[in-house]
Amino acid sequence: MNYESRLTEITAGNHTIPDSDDFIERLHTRRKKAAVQQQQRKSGVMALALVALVTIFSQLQINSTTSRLTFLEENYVSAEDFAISEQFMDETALFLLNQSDDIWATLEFFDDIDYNFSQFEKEQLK
Amino acid sequence: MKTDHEFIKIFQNGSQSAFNDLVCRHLPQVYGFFARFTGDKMVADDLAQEVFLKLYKNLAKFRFEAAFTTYLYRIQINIANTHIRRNRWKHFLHLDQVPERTDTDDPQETGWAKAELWTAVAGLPKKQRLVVMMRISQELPFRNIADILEMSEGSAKVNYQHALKTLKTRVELIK
Repeated sequence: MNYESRLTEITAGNHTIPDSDDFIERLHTRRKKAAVQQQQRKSGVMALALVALVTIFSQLQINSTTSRLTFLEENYVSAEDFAISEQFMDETALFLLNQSDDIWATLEFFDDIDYNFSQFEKEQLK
Repeated sequence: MKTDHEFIKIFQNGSQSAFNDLVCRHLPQVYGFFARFTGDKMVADDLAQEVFLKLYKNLAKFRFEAAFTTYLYRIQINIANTHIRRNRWKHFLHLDQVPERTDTDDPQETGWAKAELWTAVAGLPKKQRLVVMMRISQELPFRNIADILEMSEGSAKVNYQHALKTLKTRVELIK
């Protein structure tokens, strides 16, 4: 007996074929189960994608809000920053008095803006 | 008696019973192939189910260009290849070290020879392995094997001879 025939003989066997009705029933059960699982996997992936999208979107929103807040925080200018200090007013008044051709007109201007001239005088006298 | 192609046409028109008829007709051949190939009834049954599941999925797209049996053999061969690959990984991961009691009709001595033979066949290069699987377990003529594997008849024969040569050096068959 040659090698090929021996191989065929070894692989040949008396195999009992399963009952076809039972086989088909199991086949369709398995097929339906696989279809349900596939559907569940699809839904899972969709849900995951949706969650990922929402997360990314939220993250972007948070980032943009945070950066706006940071910007405001860094560039915050308080009311005090805008307030004209007394010292500045006094220096301006002195400058105007020194530079003006008509000192009375300057004093009249101080009256118009309700500049506390007496305070200025005190400062000058010190 | 309807032909395979007629059954397929009926199935494509929505009749599941036509598919069941196809399964009934080809079950002995498909199951027999895997039973010879694995020597294990449970595994053979499982692999045969995989074949018909794949067939059910793809039959709607069958284009009647080739014989249905050629198409079915291709699916069988793909499933057998996947099974071999899976087993290689199992072997690699040592998952098969615990000896399993296999449910088989073979006497023990033949069972061992068969297991040894298929292990050797699994180690052959892909083309040789496919030709041997079809030639040994299906006893198909080389012309059919060539059709299924989309190669020339000469190439199928050469691959088979190379495979036999390798197997002779690897497997000493029990007399």
